[in-house]
Amino acid sequence: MSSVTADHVPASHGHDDHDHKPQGWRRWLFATNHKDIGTMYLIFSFCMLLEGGVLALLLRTELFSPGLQFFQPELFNQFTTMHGLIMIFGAIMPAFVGFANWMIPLQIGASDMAFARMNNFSFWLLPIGAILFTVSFFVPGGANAAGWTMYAPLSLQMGPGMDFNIFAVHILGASSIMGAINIIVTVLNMRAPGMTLMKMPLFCWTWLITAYLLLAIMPVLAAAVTMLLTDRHFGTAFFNAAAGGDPVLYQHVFWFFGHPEVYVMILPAFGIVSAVVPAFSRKPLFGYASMVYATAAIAILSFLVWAHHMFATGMPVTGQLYFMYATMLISIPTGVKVFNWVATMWRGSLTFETPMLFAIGFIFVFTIGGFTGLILAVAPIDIAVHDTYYVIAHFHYVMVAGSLFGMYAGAYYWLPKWTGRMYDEKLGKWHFWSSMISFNITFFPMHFLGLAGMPRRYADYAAQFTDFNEIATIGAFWFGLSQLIFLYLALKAWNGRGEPAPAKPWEGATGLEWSVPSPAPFHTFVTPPVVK
Amino acid sequence: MTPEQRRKNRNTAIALVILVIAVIAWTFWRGGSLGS
Repeated sequence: MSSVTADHVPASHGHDDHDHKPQGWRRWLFATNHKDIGTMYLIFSFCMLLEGGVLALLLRTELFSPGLQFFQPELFNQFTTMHGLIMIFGAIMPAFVGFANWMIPLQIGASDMAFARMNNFSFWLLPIGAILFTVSFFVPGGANAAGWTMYAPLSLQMGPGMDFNIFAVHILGASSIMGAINIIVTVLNMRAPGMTLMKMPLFCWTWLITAYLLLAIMPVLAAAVTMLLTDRHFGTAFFNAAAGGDPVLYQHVFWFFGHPEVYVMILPAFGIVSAVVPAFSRKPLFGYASMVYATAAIAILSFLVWAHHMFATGMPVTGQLYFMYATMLISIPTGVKVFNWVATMWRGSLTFETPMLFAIGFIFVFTIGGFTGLILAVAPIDIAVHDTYYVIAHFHYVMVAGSLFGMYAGAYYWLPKWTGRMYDEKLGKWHFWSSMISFNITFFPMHFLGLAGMPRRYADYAAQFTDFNEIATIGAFWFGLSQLIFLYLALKAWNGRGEPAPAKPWEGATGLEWSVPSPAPFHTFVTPPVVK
Repeated sequence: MTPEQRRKNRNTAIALVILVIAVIAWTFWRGGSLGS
């Protein structure tokens, strides 16, 4: 990363009169301050993480033993579907928008986001979407049970829970689009004087590219679910084979959204790790420019590989070959990133505080997820393990150990800036090691289950899969409980307990956000700093 | 934020909204033509 220094940093005007903030519930309901909205995003996403986590534990409880113990298959399928949807649209995506709200204006020297009121609206759409997701369990027929992908024709046959689902996706998609527009305009138009694009912290770069991805894919999802809706209720036949439609077309449209969506959920984590690794290596990021180009390359390639999710639909061999090789190409820019992180640490003055542990953990486990992704890209192998637990293992290595560990790295890194308090380092390390070990206990055995042929999205399984399922369930409960350590640490800092944090608590940290006091004042960079 | 900055922000946002609308229209158009 370019090392940014500010010539003149009028962070908060130096006296309290300029730090007015609304009081009580109005502060939050009518919030237009990027830090308040960022905080709300982060709290909301953590609540959704807990909701999605509880659903996951219910799934694992049922899967502890073969046979049906607690839930009928219909309810089990609702749990799998809603676990996925809540984690993706409720937890991961809003969490990264929360990080963006908090950090992008601070990192580029802007006073706030470009559209403060739209920012408020973007956030308050989220609880509505979450409520629609949650109450859909209680409508006749229950929640969507067609899988988070909502494939036709199953999604055309579901009860009203599917309509709740469609509207929730519309609302959350609208929120994402508004958030993306806000981020793009803020980054392009509101950078401090001297903050050229190639001087921006990599987190801003990864989010800028992510925001463009969102603008290109969320409308596709919105259109796809709208077509589902019109097929369901208004007599159209986009995907209804009985009326001349094509269910496979839905898969094409969905995955044109769905594959770039994976990168929406991982690119901001790349940005966070690219901030944390140099800070605790006490070296500038190795290959800043190549990181930017690699991020852009990943984003572009992500649009060209969607049908690798559809090898089992019976596509022509030429199509399989194209999507197989195109998918493998993504490993090149991704490899550039992993190489650069490792090269940044090489001969650095390393220390292993909790953010660095999560960042290194991220590199380690995300790379495993990347490799299994490469294996799945090989069409003949994919056909053998399609819809098995191998796929579940792969994307949890990317989404949990990738996105979630990246977020924890960022949360511990910036928590002192957000709250003005240092977290308890010892407990932070407990959180990391407990999460890292239990995560692998949960998901590593799923590779074996998948290779042995255990299909996903079933409440029951053959007796030979019992041992690995028992291990996975024990790991899942351990992992779930480990997250309470973070909740405790975050609440403690939020309540102003713990050692006061200096403006720059990390010796090797660089960037404008460390030039303002901790906690960051309500108003920052009212007069833009001049960046050298 | 200066009026000029606001104008610049608004114009950028309008361009992005047009992009979003175009993508929605493209998806329906492709969806419709491929489905029939």
